[in-house]
Amino acid sequence: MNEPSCSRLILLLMLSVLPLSARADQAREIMNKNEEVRKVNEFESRARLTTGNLVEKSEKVKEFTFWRKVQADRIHNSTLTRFHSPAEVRNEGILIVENPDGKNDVLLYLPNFKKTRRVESQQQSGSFMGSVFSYSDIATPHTSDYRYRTLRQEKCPGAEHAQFQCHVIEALPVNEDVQERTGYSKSMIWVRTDNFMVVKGEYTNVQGELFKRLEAGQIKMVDPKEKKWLAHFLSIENLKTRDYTRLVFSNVKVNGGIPDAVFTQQNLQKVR
Amino acid sequence: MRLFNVFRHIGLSHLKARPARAVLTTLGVAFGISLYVAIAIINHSTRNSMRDSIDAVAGKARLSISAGVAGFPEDRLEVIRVIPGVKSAVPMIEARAFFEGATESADGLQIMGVDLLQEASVRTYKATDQKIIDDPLTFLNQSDSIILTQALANKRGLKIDDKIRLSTALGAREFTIRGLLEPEGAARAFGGSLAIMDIDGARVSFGKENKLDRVDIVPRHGVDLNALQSRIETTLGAGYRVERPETQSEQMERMLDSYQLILTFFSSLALLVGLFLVMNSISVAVAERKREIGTLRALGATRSLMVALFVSEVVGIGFIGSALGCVLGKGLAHRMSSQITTSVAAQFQMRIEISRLDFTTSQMIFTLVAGTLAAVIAAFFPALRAATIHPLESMRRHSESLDPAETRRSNLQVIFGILLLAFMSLSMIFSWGKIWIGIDLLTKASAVLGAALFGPFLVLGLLRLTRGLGAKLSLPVLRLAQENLLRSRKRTGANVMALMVGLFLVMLIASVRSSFHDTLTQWLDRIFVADIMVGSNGRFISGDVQPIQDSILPELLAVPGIRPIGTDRGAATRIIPYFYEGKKMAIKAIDRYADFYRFQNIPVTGSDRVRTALDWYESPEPAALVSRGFLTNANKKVGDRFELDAPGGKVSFRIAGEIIDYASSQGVIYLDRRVYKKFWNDSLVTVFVLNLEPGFTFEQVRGEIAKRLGRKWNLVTISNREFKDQMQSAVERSFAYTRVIESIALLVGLLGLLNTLLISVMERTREIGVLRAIGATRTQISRMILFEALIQGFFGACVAILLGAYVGRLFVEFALTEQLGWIIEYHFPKQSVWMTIITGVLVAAVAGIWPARRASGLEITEALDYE
Repeated sequence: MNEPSCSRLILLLMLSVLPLSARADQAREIMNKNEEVRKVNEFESRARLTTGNLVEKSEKVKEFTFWRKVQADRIHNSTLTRFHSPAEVRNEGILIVENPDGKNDVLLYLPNFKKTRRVESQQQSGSFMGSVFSYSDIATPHTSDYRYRTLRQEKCPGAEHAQFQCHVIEALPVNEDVQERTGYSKSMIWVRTDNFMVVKGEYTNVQGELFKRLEAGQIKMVDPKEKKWLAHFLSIENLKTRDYTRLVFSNVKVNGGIPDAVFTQQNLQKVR
Repeated sequence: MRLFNVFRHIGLSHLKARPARAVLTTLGVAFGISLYVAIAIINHSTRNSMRDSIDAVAGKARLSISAGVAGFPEDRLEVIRVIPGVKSAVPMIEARAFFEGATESADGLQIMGVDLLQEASVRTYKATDQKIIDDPLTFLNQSDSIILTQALANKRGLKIDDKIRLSTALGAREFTIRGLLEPEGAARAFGGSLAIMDIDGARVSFGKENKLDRVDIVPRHGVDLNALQSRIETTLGAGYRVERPETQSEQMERMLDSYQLILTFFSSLALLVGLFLVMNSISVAVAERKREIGTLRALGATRSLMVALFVSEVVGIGFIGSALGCVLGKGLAHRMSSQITTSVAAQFQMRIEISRLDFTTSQMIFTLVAGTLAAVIAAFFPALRAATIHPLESMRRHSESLDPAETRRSNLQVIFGILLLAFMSLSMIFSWGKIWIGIDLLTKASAVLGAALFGPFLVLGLLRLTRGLGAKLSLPVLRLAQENLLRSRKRTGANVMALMVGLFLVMLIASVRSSFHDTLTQWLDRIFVADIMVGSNGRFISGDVQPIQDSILPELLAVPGIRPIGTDRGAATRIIPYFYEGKKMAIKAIDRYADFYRFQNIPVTGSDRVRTALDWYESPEPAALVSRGFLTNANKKVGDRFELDAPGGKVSFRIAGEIIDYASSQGVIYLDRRVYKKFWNDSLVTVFVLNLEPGFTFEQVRGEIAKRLGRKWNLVTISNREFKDQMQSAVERSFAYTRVIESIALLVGLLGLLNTLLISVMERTREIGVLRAIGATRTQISRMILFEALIQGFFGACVAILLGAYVGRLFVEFALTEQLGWIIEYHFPKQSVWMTIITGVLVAAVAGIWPARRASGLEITEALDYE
């Protein structure tokens, strides 16, 4: 190779690297905004979780109340779920407390045994109580856990969002701990350009196979003052097993003053 | 090339000319090898299955913590979790459950109560339909949730959402199958006889509230495992065992070693009988071809060529026999594996489910090479004899009995046989086998070889003693047969040898079996005086039952017909396995003055049994009665102290006396159940032993128990007689596999006798021709040959009884104690005497029919022209 051609190659490499870095910065900025707009200080809601299988045409419904509150550090959340139906799961509760070290404390209360059980981090990438969601899907993702890259901008997928443009962003876990916790080696996320809410996600497992697809709908502003948004409808499908889960929030109350004591083990064990 | 030519022209033509002999010898090798292969497969597969189970249950864990069957407090888990170096500490409850109505150990299944929310860090499972549990929220919150292996579900025709009823500590309970597992990961353990429950559900069902049986530790990356093990041991203190999975495997394998060695010994005997057959076959061939050998030698054939010629004839027989033996052995292994599993369960109080029978290519190659080589070695000595035949000697016609060299050889054989038996006796009495395993193997081989070499001498002695019997009974054919046998001592010896070794083995096994049976029966008759036993499903005799809560006792005592007993006179016994200094023993925690163990029936040794029993009952400090096995293994004597590790810490016990008990060969420890409950915090009971009120029958009371408590508690009530019958059937089952060994040994013995009788008829063709020429009828000739066979069978059986009983006595009194720890009394197997004689005579009769027909079918002219 002669010298001029070598210089050209170096220049070409530099040119190709520079946009990459710029695209990563842009992607992180988008995801930071996403984290910001969906971070409602306090959030309480009734929820309906429908699980089923597209092949077997079977469905099961669970109803629960959902409380979420941003912790004092303004970054991490605490989440409590209390099941109401069906009868076999009545009063079961799940408390998820996100920790600064990235490891979430997940506690499950079993009323029939009057016992609280801890869900190990390796188990957190598994199914959230039989749904296609994992525990880490239920806990909110943090931008610091991923490396982002904007791939393109295009019309948002789905009829509900067809009039909007979306950033298509690729997210890779920053380390093995995050990968172990989430079970994802890569995510593709469609983020609306207007409100920075995620409308679609595609998730690749550690074996490199595309295995989950998420769709968000009924995106409404729930806190006009702070400009916070919430997707009232989430649908996720396991592409391998064809299992699906739909989560619908109703009676959403934000910033209603949820005491910190709600997110404690004592409260988890308190059955009304 | 020269050898090949000699083999092609001479050796092969002889094999072709005597196809029956070649086939019989090949079959003899095949049957001998088959048993050896079967036992090798089972031994190997048992170890593999055990290792697989331990590894599968351990998963990614590098250490596991346990504290015996009674478990340890649940709160210890949090203590373990914070020990530096521990990445994950995953708890487990272990239990054995039985399907409702089960009476066999095989109807049981291992329950693993695991924390499904933490399992991923240590064990993996693969479900048949991707998701192990359809709805974890429901699964975890419902104590009836259970996951079975697909194999078990298939076996019992079960599917997801089906209900099964299992015996639990709370009685019979219904469980819902909420998942099925593929045979991967932990589901490979216990041969698939496994069920997974959530830990909380398992705790409730199996009486382990607030307890754990085991905690598996996954260490942090790069942690020194030895240091971590020490840290855990120091933190938890006495009463806890911290082990690596490989240590558990090694410990179990050590336990199995002696047992499998005995199995191998028995199987080697059949092989040895097969090799005798080869040796006899070649010996007779050498005698038959003496003239040919002389001619070849005169023509310049070297001695080594002669050895090589005979050996080469056996190579094919050995190889084909071994190959056939491999095939037969695999089939036999399938047939025998469950019997041996049952026997192992009875011996070690643990059931090792063989998941698959492995016969690797390397094992097969080894068997083919070793089998061929063994046949060659067996042929070598008679071949060597062929090489020493001088051409001149071969041309001479003389009677075998007059040959001084032959007589010298016979005498040497007898002396060598006696020496081997003497060595075997001394080695067993003084436990020389302990010094080196080679001596142990040599001792066992000496028993058989000694019997084989010395036995024919005794048979000939008996023949001489009964020489006049034919004349007295006016049976000339019998007389002629006796004379023939005495005249051809070598041939008679060869005929008897193979059959006698087979019968010797039958008698040896019968000695061991009857000693076990009679010792246990006498022991039970002495101590077990209660009218009924009440427990859960399973086998009472082995203690392999689902224990139940002792809170049931008041309900039991309220049943009409049960004799009321005082408040401190309970009737409960808890039997648990306990590892004392690496030996698996049994603890029997019994209620004070329980009816089963009323002090006059406590099986205490010594003259003042009542005083010893009272001393134990009334001791102000923890006291124990222990078996001889314990005293030997722990190197203690009565009056000494010893410590037991209980979950509450170390407990020191005074040895108040010695008892006789057969719950474990390694040692049995009797404790007062109050002391046991205090230190082990375990209120479960293995069995309740009760007496009847006068005027009530057993059937009445059994019916009443079933009506009031049976369904709720899944109780089984058995009578004193039924319990003893269970014991008898347990002994029978433990020895069931020996029937196959006996049958194969006898079959090979039959083939050996048939072979040698056929050869002897052939050898005596001319003599038979002469007899026919001087007026003997075909019937007389046929009877003569048959009588010869029957006489050899009868006397062979008599000598086998004598030698088998002698070696059996040494085996029971010394080898069993030394190798398996059993201290049992020798009981002569009276019932087996007649069976052995009848078997010997029958086998001889079957073996004699064909040669007799062949002899009687000979034409006079043809016979006289023979040679």
